[in-house]
Amino acid sequence: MSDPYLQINNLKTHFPVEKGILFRKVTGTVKAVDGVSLSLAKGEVLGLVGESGCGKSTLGRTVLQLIKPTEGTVTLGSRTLTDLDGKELRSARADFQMIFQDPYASLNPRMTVYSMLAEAIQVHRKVPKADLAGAVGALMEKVGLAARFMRKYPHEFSGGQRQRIAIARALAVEPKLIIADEPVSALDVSIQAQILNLLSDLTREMELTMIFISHDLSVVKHISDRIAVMYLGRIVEIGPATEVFEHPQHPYTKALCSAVPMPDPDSERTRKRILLPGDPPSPLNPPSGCTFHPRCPHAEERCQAAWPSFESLKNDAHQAACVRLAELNQ
Amino acid sequence: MALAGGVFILLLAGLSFIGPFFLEGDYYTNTVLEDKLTAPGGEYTLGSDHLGRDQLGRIIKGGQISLLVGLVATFVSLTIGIGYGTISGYFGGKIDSVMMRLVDILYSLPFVIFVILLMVFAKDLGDSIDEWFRARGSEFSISGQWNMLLLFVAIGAVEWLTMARIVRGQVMSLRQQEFIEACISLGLPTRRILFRHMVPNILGPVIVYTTLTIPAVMLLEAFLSFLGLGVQPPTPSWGLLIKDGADRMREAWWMLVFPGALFAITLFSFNFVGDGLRDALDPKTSKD
Repeated sequence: MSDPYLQINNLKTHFPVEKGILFRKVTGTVKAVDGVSLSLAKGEVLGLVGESGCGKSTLGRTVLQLIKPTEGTVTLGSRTLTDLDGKELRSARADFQMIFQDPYASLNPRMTVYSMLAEAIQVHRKVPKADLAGAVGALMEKVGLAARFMRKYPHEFSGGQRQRIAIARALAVEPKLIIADEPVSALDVSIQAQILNLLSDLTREMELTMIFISHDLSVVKHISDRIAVMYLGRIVEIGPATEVFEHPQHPYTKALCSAVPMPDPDSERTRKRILLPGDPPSPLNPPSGCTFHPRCPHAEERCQAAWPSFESLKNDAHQAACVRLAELNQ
Repeated sequence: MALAGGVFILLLAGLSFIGPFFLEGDYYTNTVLEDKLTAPGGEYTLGSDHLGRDQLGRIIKGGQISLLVGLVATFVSLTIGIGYGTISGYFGGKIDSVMMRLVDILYSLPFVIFVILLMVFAKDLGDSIDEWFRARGSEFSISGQWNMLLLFVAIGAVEWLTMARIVRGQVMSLRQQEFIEACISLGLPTRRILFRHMVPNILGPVIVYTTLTIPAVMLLEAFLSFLGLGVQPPTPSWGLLIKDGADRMREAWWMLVFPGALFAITLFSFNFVGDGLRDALDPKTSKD
């Protein structure tokens, strides 16, 4: 890979679980993100998939310093974000933005689109008052909204339009990294495609680096250059999008891919599904070794010993963390 | 409804504050003992009280006091409560704990004792402030209004506690919303997040509670005056007038009915205005 633009190094986010009313005692920790390392080249789109509760969103928020990490570093360009604090961090935020899942909760219901976007534009840039309306209009047109709507309130827009406003707000500071946290899962399928196309056009146009979080494999495949699969706070497989999707190597990814319905009824009928027994274990008390072993159809005794390291078979860019990787993928 | 309420309050305020300029200086204390307990009509439009004072004049003066106390004390409690509650709810954790425990402590102080202490200790303060000005050759004097000021302080100091709690609860639930996270992510200064994004969104419940606070404050003033801690006779307030009226309900119904009805209509009006304000400030319900 060419020199990485975003580098995440052994990132851990643990939340203490407290009990007691007067004297709070820490009775355990939820390891929401437990040792994630990733690197992204400039302009790359990485899809991050996994079940609900596996730590995808926490990872995204930790990278953006909305949650302080317990351990590890995040480096963006030449800046180590995890070292920044207070004012420095606030001014650094111009470089990285987030697009949220629920466009109904992510917009202030009491502000017009204009005041919202104008505020975002002015945080990190000095724009003369006279040019502000023009800048807001340009921003709205960029995300496919007519500039004449700028005096309206969020509740006057549909879900898809609201998500466009949220995207416009994120772009207002001219960021270089965008983390999209399930930006289409709250939208209708017909609108999902529009928003996805908008996002991929924008990333190309503005050379944005993006982490696209989703639990929907087909959505991720559409937009990403690479895919990382997360299970219980760790990454189990990472590789080029088509390769991970068509030749999954890790048993968990295989199960995940087999769950995607096919549009063709004939192949849908003959589709072999790998059903995983049980629920994902609690991140409060994760299993030893490979955390996937209690549900893995191929688990052996050695799987319980230690977390397996990443290995790759043919393609160096495609890695998976499984001790039986070679024998399972012959 | 809201408009009618607003017009009524404005009329009332006009009557109480501008009306007196057209009346004689002693319109509310002019005692004619021979005319005591005169029924309405004739010389006394709304009758006279047990000391032969004109009931209309006393209601006008009482309206001045009651409205002033209601509005000023509510405004004081609103300002302190919103500021305090917003900060406490937004920062959470230790700051929140300390700030809210302070509220709990103030809450647990018996109100009457608190006010008595305040009145007793602060009473001399008014005189010494006058002294201080006089020593510097100034004619400025506040001891005349000092009692009223103390009343505002005492009521304001108690009423803001509930407001702070309500605001804190609202802010805490608002903080979980993604648009606040989006603000942090944009790098907005905290002050701006608090007062541009948080406060407008909690106005609904705050306004409702404010419309409840105004009558509560007016009642509190009546109660304090009854104890002799608030407004001092012969100055009337609506609370005092109602109390006097209630004592002579059988012989002079007009002493109870007129101030009581006015008090009730005023409180209704404040409620209607509150409802109207809440709807007008919420972009979702305003028609344009």
